[in-house]
Amino acid sequence: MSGKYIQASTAAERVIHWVLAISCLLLVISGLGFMFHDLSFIARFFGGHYAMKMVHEYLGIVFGISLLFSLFTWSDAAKFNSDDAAWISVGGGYLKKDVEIPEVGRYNAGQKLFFVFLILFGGLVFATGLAMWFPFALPKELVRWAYPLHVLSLLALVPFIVVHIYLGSIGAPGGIQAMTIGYVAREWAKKHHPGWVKEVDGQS
Amino acid sequence: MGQKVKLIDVSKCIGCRACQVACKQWNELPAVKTINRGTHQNPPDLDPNTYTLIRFDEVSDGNGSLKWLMRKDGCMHCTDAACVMSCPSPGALTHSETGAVVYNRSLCIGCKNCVITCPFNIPRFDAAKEKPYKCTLCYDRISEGQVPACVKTCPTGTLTFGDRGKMVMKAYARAEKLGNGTTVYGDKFVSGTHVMYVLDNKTSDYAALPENPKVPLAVKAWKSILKPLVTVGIVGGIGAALLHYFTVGPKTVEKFDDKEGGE
Repeated sequence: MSGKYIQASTAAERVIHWVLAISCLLLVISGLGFMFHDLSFIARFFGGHYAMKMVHEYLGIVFGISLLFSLFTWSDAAKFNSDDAAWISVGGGYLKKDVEIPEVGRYNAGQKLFFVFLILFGGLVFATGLAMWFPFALPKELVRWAYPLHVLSLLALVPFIVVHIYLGSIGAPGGIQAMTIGYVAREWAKKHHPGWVKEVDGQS
Repeated sequence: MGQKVKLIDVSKCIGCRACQVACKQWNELPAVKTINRGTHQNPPDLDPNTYTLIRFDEVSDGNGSLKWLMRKDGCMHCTDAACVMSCPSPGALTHSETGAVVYNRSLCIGCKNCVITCPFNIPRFDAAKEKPYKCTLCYDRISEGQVPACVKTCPTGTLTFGDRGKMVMKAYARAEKLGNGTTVYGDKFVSGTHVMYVLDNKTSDYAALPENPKVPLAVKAWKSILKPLVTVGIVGGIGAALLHYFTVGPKTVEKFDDKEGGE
């Protein structure tokens, strides 16, 4: 696989990514089912509102644990460098064709920013979720603010999640393999992450 | 049927607690063994088996003597009800056609949101049954043209029940007649409650009665600001992604052939 392909992720990274992704998506969907009574049909897929509450609570634990694993797995790779501000200022080359894009390493600034938001607001949504689950352990005034903060976290994460799914699928074809088989085509990597290809070639 | 109000004229209350007993009887709630704590207030607080309770307060009258206050506590049945706003299970907490906040235990999922958000600290959580309990203003009696069980049993006329407009007028007429700083409680906040008081002492003299109850700011921020923004965020995010796909287009690799490899 070495010549035409570059390894983009380890098996452990892929498992962490998908546990986080699937738990996150199911939490968002069930959460919307609670918040919008017009979307209460969602509860049918979970076996009613009571079952959906149980799923939401215990899946929250799965989400929290996989978030912790994500923190340890990707915090080094997500460190910002000097090129990241320039990358953001040209929108990563996604907003206009044929713009000069600064050299991107293994992760671009958008991915790093998503990681930071995920850790911060994922942490907040987990903490406020725990407060809502066990409200009698805390002062009432504090728990009352957990509800809006829980939704604020969702609000902060939703645009990133939508963009992440879009760019991970139809928005940048060829990239999804990084999280399925774990290898991406060398040509794809050269276009999207040239700094990373140099790094990999330098090591081998 | 129109809006209905239960008026509690505390100046007429003798603290007999017949309303407490009638409430238990109608709602088939078991009695609880308690101990003598040196007060007539018994049980000490609202609990999942006690939807209503006479609270006894002792305050100084300023002349070295004591005033003994009695107030029937229970759900106020708010128009702007924080519990209804924060309930995630459709139908578990709803307003009846008379404006009462009705609780349907079979639809309740036991999330405890109502217990936390209520500005009057009314719903109590039953840890064994994993559900909260509170007064329903005898929805099952009212819908059959009856008055609530507590009103039916009250021997002194402290409790009366009727059309909202009439009860508000009655409350103000009574407050004017009593004078001496007697106030009407329940029409000035949360767009009006469906349980109102005539208080012949300062509001602050009655324990556990908030002076200026309102839907908590956190609940307003949650339901009136952030919730609509979530719709905007999701619809806007997906819309923006699709717009990008069909205008700018995806970021593809030129001359990329998966089978042949690179140059």
